[in-house]
Amino acid sequence: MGRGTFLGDFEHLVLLAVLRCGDEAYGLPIRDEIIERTGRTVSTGAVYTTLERLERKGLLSSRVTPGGEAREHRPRRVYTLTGSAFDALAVTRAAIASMSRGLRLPGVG
Amino acid sequence: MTLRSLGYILLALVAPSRLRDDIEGDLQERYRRIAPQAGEGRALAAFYRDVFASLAPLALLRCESAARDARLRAVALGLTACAAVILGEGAASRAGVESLLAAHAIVATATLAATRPYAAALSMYAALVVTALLFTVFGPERRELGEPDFYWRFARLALTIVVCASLVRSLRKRPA
Repeated sequence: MGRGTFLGDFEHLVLLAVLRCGDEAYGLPIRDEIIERTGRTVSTGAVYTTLERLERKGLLSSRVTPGGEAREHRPRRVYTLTGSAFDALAVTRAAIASMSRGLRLPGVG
Repeated sequence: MTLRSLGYILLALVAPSRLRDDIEGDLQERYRRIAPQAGEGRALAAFYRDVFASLAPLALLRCESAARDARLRAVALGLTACAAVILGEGAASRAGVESLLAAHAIVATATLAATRPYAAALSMYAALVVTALLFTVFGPERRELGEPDFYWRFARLALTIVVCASLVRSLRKRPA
């Protein structure tokens, strides 16, 4: 298990949000997805900072597409998961499951 | 000029240029989505809340990129200087190699100071100690060679140490 394959908490959420957004995975829907599903307050800057780091790590690839009227025709960057991202997600999920197994946490069912 | 212009100016100051259009587009799109439902005032408040919350992470991202570029420049300059030394005095002028050495030292120190100020201070103390030791060890040689040749040899030795340290540091760096 490589040391670099583990994901941070927010990186994990962003990768899952990209996966959920599919072909429409650019900054705004990714942010909305995280807010809607986790109830966490997330800024646009925090989302783009994480997307940029994940792309640098080779876990995401991006392509620029033209933006519509709502964005005043500013381009938007659409993100896609790479093969390494799926490996990293699997490794992180397995690590969390392994650490949680057999633990009884107060207030958690 | 709209009420949102100040927000865009603030973002332009801190956001990496590569992401500026994406971020501005997202803020604009969100503003247009909120305004018809909640009113212009609430949409503007949400816009500025997002702008101010975005400043810190974007500034951090910009610093990271700048430090990475400076580190790459430092290693590239070091390798060029090393190549010049290996090629020998005949192929590379002494002034040229000394300029490269100085440029490398400045960029490496600036990078270290920006990313690890304590490490930069420790390096400077270490450099002073090493210099004192070298002058003591090579004292007789200094008298034999004469000042200019001694300093030239010393500069090459210092260059080799700096380049090796840079390379070891970049190789030991954990993959991002």
